[in-house]
Amino acid sequence: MIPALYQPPAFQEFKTAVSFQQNQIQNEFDHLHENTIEYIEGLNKEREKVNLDIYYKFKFDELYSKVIKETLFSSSSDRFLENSNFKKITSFGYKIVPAILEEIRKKPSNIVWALNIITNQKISAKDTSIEEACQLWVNWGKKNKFN
Amino acid sequence: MTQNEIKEIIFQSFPGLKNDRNFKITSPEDPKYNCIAWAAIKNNVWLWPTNGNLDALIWPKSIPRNTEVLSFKLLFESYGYELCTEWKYEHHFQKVGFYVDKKNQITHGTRQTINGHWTSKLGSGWDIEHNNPFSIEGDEYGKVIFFMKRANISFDLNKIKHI
Repeated sequence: MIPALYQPPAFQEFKTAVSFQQNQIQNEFDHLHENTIEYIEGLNKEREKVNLDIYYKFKFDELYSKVIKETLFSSSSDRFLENSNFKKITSFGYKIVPAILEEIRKKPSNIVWALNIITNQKISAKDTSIEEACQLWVNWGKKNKFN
Repeated sequence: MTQNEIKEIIFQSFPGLKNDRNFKITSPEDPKYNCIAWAAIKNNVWLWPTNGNLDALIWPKSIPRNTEVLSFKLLFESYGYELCTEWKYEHHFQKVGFYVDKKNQITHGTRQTINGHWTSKLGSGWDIEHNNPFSIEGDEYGKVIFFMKRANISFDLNKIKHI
């Protein structure tokens, strides 16, 4: 009489092979799952960065237009530097630097002074013009991956 | 913005220009220089006394860093100007004028042109031509406080060329 639990060797091999394949599929699935999560997280981070860049650009444009309006006829650099909206711009620190660089690349101006304050450094030599100073800052931005 | 819209903005701060027959806008808005630089015939830097270490904001080391009348007088003396009492055009001379607020602090500088009119850079805004130094007096710049003059360099150069 054949025992109830007896299985032929070929069937055992078949079961082992199936189990191996199942494990392999599971591993591949897990790996795919991890990659997908990583990919989605990457996308979210990228989207978050884009959103933040847009946010700071928007904030900069809003504040800078107020600075211009409020100091338009003043020749005093102190009045410009002490303007409350100018101070708000510099209070964002390095996060707002790309927006400032974009602005001075398109239209060189004395808003370049915000970069002096944020980075606590002067980039130009003694007789440099506003236009030249802005160009030096744009180059600095490229070198330091701000653009 | 149209010229008329710009003029309306300017008139709000300088109502005296409404009656200035020679008032005209002579340049687009340009934040690369200020009025003192423009009076000193520079159009690529800001000239103002400051303690900050800022790009393209210049002020000679030898001159006090404040907005007192004396500091600006010293600055323009270093460019060859001397004090004068007459604001009207004098042949062969170039003139500049300075404005003070109620605290006697300098707010603005203007320069006479070869046609006897005056040219002002309005802050970071536009260059304008006006008939006389007084038509931009008011709340924004206060009153004219003194004038300076120097021999007109361009005239001398022409004279030398002619000879």
